[in-house]
Amino acid sequence: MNDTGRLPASILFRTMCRCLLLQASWNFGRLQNIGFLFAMAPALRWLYQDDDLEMAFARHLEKFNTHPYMAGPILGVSLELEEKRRAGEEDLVDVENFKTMTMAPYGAMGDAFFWGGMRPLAAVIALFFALYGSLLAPLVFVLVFNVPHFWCRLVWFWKGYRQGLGMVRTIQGWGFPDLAIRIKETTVILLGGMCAYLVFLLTGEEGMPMVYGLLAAPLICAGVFMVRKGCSSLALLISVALMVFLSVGL
Amino acid sequence: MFLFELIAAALISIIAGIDRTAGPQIMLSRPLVAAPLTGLVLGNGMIGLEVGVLLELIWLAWVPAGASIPPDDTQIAVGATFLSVVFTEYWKADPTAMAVFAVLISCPLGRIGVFFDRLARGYNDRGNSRLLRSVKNGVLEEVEGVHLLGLLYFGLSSVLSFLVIVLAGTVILLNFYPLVEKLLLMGSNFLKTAFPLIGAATIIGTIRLGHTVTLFLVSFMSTLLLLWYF
Repeated sequence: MNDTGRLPASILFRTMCRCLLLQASWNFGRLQNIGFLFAMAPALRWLYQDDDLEMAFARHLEKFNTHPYMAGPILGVSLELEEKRRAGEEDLVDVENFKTMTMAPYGAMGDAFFWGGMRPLAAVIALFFALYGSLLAPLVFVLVFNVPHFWCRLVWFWKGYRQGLGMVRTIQGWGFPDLAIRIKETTVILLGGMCAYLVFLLTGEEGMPMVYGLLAAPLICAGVFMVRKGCSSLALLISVALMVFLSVGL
Repeated sequence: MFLFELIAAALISIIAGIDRTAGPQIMLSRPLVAAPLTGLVLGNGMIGLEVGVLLELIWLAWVPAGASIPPDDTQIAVGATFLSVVFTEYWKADPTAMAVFAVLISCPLGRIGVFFDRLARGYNDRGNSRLLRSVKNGVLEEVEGVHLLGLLYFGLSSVLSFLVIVLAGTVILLNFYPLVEKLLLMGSNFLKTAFPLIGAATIIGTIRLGHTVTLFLVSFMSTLLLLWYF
């Protein structure tokens, strides 16, 4: 430990890198607990010794589950809170309470924004490239998705460490839930365009009258209805394949 | 040659499989990324791209939150690409028809991926129990070992799913492809369009914003009319 009591940059860098593997030991019992401790371990070893270190390890082995990308800011703030605990300073909440209070809401925000918003958006943009026959499609997918991903994981980790509990307000200021809704709307609009393009290509290749393309709209709506009624994608896929084979075979 | 291709595809299945849950999740595991990558390594990137387009949207809306494990579309993509590349050459088949058939048989086979994934997480459970005991006894050096062992479990689960898809798929393709080739040639163009449309329906069905279907229909109709007009 140095005079200032602040963690050296090398330890912060190691923690940041380790947070990329948060879910390597995902388990049913305590979910991401080992991953969180794995990321915190270098800092804890630097801050504590003997019994204190043992207690620190034990408190970070408690159940932990959040969206993997949102773990960055939680880790950053946790480091800052551990530093304060080591220095004997008290904050509004301790590290255990902070983790318990933030993991679920951050998890829900991350799920809605990344899995529900950014991932479909990146996929649809990349699909336009793929439909054009461009092998750049995978690269486009990875780039579009990973800019906000790494921003949250890495930049917010640093900010979390610097701002401490103030990070909660920073994240709140981003309005993730509203942003997720805007992204989902954009994705739906792009999906409409992509489906129309696919149908346009099919009618052209098969020499069908263009007006047949309009039939795709009620068919997709029927698919939406079935999905909302609980029909699985696999069941839909197999049924459609059987119908196509039956109709071309007869 | 078959063995070299199998090893190369298995390596991609491990890398993409680890990225799916245990790794940094930079989306190497998405079908639209993993399938073209497999195709490129096996010498036919375009067939991989085709498999990626067919599969990308199907399970995209499934959120891997908490303990929910989505169907393993990563191994389905890698396995279907491998089967498409190898058997397009073997049967001198139409690449699109082969890609459609490979995806159709890989999708149900891919359900096995969930079983192997659960198995990996179960092994991690044992590691967690061991680690809790060690920390209680003051042994603090095991964290890194237990954690990184999880990568191995997830890697193994990925390659096992891949091998099941490839082995069962090979048996099916060797025995049944000539029987359905004619149907596939006639229907592959429709199915090539239908798969992404089903995926789109799944995504729209999952997004519940109140005006999702209206937004989609307005966009669909206006794009279609614009494409006709120009």
